[in-house]
Amino acid sequence: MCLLSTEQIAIVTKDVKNEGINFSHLQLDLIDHVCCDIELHMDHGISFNESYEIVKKEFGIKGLRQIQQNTLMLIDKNYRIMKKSMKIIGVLALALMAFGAMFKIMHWPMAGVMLLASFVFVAFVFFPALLYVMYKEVNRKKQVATYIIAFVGGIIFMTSVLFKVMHWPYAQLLFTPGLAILTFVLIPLIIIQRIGSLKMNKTVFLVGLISMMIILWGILFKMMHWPGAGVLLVAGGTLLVLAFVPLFYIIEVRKSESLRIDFLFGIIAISHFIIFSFLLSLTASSGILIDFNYQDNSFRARANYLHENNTSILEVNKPEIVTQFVNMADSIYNELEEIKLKVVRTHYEVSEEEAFLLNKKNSAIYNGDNLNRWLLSDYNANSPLIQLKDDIEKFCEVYEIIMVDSLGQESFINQLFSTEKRAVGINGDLKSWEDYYFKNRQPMVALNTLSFWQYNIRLAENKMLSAVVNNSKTIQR
Amino acid sequence: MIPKELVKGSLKSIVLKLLAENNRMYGYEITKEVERLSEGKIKLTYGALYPILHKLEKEGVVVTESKVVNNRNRIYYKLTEKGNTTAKERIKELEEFVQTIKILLNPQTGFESCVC
Repeated sequence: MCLLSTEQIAIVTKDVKNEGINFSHLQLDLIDHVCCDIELHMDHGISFNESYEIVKKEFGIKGLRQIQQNTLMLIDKNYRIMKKSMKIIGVLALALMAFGAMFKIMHWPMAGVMLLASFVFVAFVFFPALLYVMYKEVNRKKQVATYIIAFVGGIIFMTSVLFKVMHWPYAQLLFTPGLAILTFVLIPLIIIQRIGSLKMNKTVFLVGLISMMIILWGILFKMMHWPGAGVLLVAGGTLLVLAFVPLFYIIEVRKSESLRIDFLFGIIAISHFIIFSFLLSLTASSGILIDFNYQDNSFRARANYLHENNTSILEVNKPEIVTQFVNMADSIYNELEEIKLKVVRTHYEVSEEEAFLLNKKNSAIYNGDNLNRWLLSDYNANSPLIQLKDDIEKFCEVYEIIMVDSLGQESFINQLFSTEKRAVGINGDLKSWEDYYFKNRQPMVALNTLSFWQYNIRLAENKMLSAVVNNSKTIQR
Repeated sequence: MIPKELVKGSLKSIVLKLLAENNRMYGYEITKEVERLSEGKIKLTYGALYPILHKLEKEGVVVTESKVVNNRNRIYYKLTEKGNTTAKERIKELEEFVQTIKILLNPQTGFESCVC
């Protein structure tokens, strides 16, 4: 009768351990059993390797782990309850969440209740049960820390998402530590702990986790408005799509010959997630874009109308007193146009002519976080806003010199243009004029503000001209 | 080969009977013994065997002892005193079950006569 050598037994032992078999003495049972089976085949004159392959095929992929699960199911009452409730609650919570999200999007009632319920299920039933089951199946005492971290980080993260969706306060406050724990502590910890005893290919595992980590960092950076978010997102996404997916396919899927159902399921789930989230963000932002576009258009139209009106007044009679004023108005108008052009140009990275056309077409731009760098004087010493502010102040002065204002405390021109600091938010912090209008603004919002000012310039000009022509009482001599 | 579903309910009793007849046995030995006695008609996979053995141990029906054989640990299963009583009860139950099934399938009283 053949007997296995110590080395051969070591091979079997390693494989069984890697399956995560650790319940009681089940590992020893299975090692001995597998060895006996191999010896039986070797008695018929087959080599160790071939015999081992035959035996492996007999218990199938995941076979050993299934035995452990069955054993746990039979013995551990908690495990049984947890596993059952996990399945039921998981499906229930998922359904509730999907319905809640749909209701929320459609602005139907009860969306909040549904989302809240699904959250409570996931965070306080499904998630702990999942961790318990995982802990039982991979019963390594050393990894307790990982599970605690996963639990704490996960709960904080999920709470913050719920707060965010429900528009409750402090969502941001919770979100950052939750995501930070997951990305900076949990994933590296998993990599360190698992890398030694890995069944799947190490490269695939590392590439997958690292690309995921980078994407999560990118999301975190994006939400906190830290620099480099875009780079992280692009790098993580590229790594995931161009490195992980092909590698995973080549190494893992081909290895297991038959296509496993969970692989297909994974593909479908990921593609749904991507499509859904992209479409959702698109519809949300396109809705806003249309509103901004509409407003921008109406400012432009009104500014043009006033300009035509002003020109016709100027053609008939040329009051000398307003010449300087009209010139100032034109130059500010052009300055504003210049800034708008530059916003368009930096976003699309196109030539001046193309930008001119795009600006005319009124392209509403969303998502460009590079405005601050060139537009604000804090970042750019040659900011066009410095000149603009100066000009606007002079414009207001001249207006006030010429016109007698009957509006009382706040004059008409100050309502149109004020470059004073203004209070923002609950604390009433004072913000400078340029920060108030342009700091961290989307290009679309900045364009809209600039168009509005162009309209205001024309409006002030028009008021001045009509005053001069029609009602000389309001003019200071 | 007897279908798995038919064997499933009686597995525990079969294992207990074997353990009652032999002093101590290890997992592989049990599967081989079942295969031999049933002339290959019942094949006990280890996916079915070990959950049962561990459950019996948890219930205090069997105890285990570990011994190094051929350079590896071998876990032997042995009935406890409590286990002996349990084994007897279970074997009796199984015999009753077999008798009842036989009566059900008996041509005189069963439904087979109707079919003929």
